[in-house]
Amino acid sequence: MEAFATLARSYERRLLVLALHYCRDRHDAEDLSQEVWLKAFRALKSFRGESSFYTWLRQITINTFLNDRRASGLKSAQVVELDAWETTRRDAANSNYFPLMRPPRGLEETVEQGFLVSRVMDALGDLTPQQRLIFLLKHQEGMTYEEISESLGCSTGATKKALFRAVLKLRQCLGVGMEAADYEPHPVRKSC
Amino acid sequence: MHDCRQTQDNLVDLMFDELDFATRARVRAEVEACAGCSAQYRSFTATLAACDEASAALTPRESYWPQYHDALGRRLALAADVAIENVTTAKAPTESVSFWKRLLTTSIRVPAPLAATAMLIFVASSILALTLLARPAPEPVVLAAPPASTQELNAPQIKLIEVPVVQEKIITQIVYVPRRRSTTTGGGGAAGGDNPRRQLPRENLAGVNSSKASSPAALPRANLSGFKPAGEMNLRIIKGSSTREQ
Repeated sequence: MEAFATLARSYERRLLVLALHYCRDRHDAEDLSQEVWLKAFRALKSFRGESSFYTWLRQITINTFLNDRRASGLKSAQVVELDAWETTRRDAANSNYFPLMRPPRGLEETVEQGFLVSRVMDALGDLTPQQRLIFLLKHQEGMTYEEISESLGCSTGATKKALFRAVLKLRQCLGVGMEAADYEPHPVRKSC
Repeated sequence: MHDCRQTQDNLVDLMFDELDFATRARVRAEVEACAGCSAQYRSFTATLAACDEASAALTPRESYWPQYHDALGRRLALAADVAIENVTTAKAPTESVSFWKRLLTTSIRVPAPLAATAMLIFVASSILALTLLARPAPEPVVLAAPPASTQELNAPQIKLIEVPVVQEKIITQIVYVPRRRSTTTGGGGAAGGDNPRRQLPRENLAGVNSSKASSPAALPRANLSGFKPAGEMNLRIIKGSSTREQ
């Protein structure tokens, strides 16, 4: 178990940040990432070394995320998450209580950083869980379309389309660089 | 020919480096040449940059990790204890129980098309069997023995053979029988009137020959003219008869 804990420390930061982007709530992210480690610990015998340990661990992570999404499918998860995020954001703005954020250099940077994080988290919250997971796997993990489609069990075309929509929606929600883009060929529906 | 729509469909692929060398070079050239596509591309990269910046800000500080390790260590220790308990309790049952349990819980990996085909065959055969069972059975035909004599009746063995009739068929056939032509009397009477003497023996002969077939009314009356009785009489005594007759 000690050896496994040592191995876990190599990837725990990466895994926690991924879970944090996916859940957008600190407590949920901690819980989900630890659940991934528990599943990996239980399934350690099934690891045959055909892929790298992190690839194997990432597949467990994806499955856990998908199962978690299914388990909390019809409840108003988004509202709960957003409320929780508002709380953590308020905490971060008021004091240094929020332990995940790096210590800012000054008050102005604190406010700016908190504002940016909240905007990005809100924008991620506007994506569907599938779009969010595909965007995170592509952007954070650097997986190819084929790897993502194989991991999620969908086609490459569907993965590409979901990523394209996710980026469009993020851009729309963040409003970043829109002053430079006057031309909008594919208007994004508000509902999607 | 530059097509903004087609180019902008490739912008995300260009941003995530998912294009091959030739396509990447072509799309890059088109983006640089078109102001609208260039603005789109810049907005996409700016979006990703904002996400990166937020992600960097969310990276936990070092003081956070000890409590995370403690929590994870506790959960791992708990899971390890549960696993050890499971291993211990799994070895306890007798071998026979574990054998049956293994037999009943064994699963085999089957390809999905094969499993679907097997399931279809099973369902089709079940439906066919149910259909055959629901159909009424044909009534058996009992062939009884013909009425027998007393000895046969006394015989103990009467064999009944049941033959199932799959389908009954009635065949109707019309049989045509040639009608018997009635005998005409006109021609024969005219010939007999000319020479009755010659006609007699022929008619007698005809009367003898056809005595069984024709009715007595049809026979001509015998003509005794010219009959000469015999002058001698031969009497034959048959020996061996009774004494009175001799």
